[in-house]
Amino acid sequence: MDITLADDTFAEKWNEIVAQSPHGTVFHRWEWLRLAEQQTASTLYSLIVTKNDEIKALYPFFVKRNPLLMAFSPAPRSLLLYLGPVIPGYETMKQSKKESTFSEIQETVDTYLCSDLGCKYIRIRTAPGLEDSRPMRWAGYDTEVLYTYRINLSDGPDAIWKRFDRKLRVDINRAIREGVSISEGTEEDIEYILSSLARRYGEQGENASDYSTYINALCHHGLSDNFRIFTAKYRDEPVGGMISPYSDRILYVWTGIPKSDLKGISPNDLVQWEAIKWACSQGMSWYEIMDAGANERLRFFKAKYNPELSIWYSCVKYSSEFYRFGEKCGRIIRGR
Amino acid sequence: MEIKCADREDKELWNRIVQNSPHGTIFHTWEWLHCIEAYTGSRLYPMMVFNGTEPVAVYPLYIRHFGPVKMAFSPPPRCLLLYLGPVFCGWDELKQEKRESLYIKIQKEIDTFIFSDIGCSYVRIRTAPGIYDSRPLKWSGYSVEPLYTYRLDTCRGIEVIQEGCDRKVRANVRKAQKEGLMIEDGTEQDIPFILESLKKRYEQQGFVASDYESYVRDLYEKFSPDHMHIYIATLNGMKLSGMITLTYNNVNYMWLGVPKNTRTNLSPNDLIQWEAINRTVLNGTRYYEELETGDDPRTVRFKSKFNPEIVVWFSATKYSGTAYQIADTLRQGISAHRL
Repeated sequence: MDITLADDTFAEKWNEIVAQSPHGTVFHRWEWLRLAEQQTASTLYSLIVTKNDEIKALYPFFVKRNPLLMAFSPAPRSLLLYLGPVIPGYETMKQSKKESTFSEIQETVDTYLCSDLGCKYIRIRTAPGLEDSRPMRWAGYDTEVLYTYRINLSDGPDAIWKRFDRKLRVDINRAIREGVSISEGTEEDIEYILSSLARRYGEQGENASDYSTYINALCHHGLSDNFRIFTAKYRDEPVGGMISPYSDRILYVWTGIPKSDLKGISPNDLVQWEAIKWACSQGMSWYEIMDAGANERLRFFKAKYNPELSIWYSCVKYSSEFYRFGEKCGRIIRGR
Repeated sequence: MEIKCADREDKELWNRIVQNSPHGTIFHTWEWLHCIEAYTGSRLYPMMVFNGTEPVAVYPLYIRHFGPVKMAFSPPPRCLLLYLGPVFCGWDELKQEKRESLYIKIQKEIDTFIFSDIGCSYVRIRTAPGIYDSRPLKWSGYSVEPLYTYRLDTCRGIEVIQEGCDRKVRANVRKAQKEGLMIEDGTEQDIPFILESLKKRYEQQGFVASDYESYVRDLYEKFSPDHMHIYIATLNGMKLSGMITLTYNNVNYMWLGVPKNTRTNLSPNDLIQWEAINRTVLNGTRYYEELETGDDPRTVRFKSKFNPEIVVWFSATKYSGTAYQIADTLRQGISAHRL
């Protein structure tokens, strides 16, 4: 297999391949990758893997010197959980073909990153839908299993409502009764959601202003047709909301849902319910409550919608066993 | 939530729970668990978990002593099992949140038993396919590794399955049939032939092969003919290959098979598998499972050519303290010549 680098002239074709692949996501879209590159001050390497001129995979990487040269897909601090390869036609391949194709792609990409570029560390987080992590393992990666939550929208809102936790249904009904209303958000609402988040990030010791420019750029310039803002208002004041990217198939609970100060009312539960209904009305297949499954505390807030689990993987490789062993011992000592 | 160690009087309830759960396997049955105990010398603790008086899970554990150190396993090493772990009652009917909280609570009880009551330093749990969620183990402090087995869904029908097989498999099967290779039902007398072939293969690969004959004979006595079947491939009366399959809970498992045969240019193993797949379809069993870990790309290639689907399962390990974990990491690092 061979590797070429995509540039902006390839953007349309790139997006078309991403849209056609069931494990291609809105986060793989060209515009998003470019903005994530700016946000993370890294260099985007949009690899096109081909065999006899046929495209076998799109594989975006963000390369950074820190102080060793490292490759990421996605980059840290880009507000992306997963990215990884998009392999056209993967889902319809026979099992042995899936294995040999993915393995060959990974081998080609690793040679490029480690031998040609000189990367010492690679971290790849593959998207849900690529259920098989063995090609990564066979290529020498340490693989960690992670989970996101997805609600299947095929049964329609009534069936989804019945499957909710009983307390959640009560909370949603109470929010409606108390007069909370949900509408499509405007630019001002984005500001409200971002400032609420900034407060929360601040409480957690992070600087959220770093993300405001990035999120604004995504919503307004890069991908305005792939975002919907949901705002909750109570007595004409904003009390909650979320910024949701979407593709033809999936609406993502991505950022927002700041903790409400209202006593006894859960505006964000209503936000989610209205978003689910909207996604159903648009003929989407899934509503994804994005998660890594790493934090037990967030479990109940997400599981009460009775979603299904979907696996994705975080895979790490070092150019030498020396780095690998050192990192492993460090992790044990840190108690992780 | 309460746990207790089941005794002989609980046998029926135990087996009913295993039988009624889609992730309950033949390996979880009371009889199989006791065969393992007798063969491996590890002490079996068949743990049952109750919510009030209602059973919510069964969780077989084996405790082994290595000098002064105690270790818990489910399943123990060297008993020809890939996975075991807990069986939950009514798992598929539970809502997501309930499943998570139930699993977390059960794991907590089990861990208290393993580490505080028994005093183990290490535990390794390998959960069965069908338990898709490994987070409760991770949240309980386990290191979790995903592994994969292969299942062929027979509801596709034999023609579609045949079309899905690699072209080479179809050609191998046709050729073997044309050359007069026969697949016959085996008997207990064929067990040594199958095990001896396996042993040779392991030794060629540099592994120490255990002697499993008494164990497999014991299992054969308990599970044949309803749940265990032996296939033998012969050519002109000479045995070329063999396989032992297990049938339970809508799954037909390819459990033990003779490795690659160099005595002939025919492919007796492809024909045996094809015969077993056909029989799985005829018997109306939903899945044909080629038991697998996904660790070794060589065995994977033999198995994936029948175009099965992958099903994930998990291997989870936990140490009672950091010292053991570091020592074990060092041991693994040195034994793999990685330093």
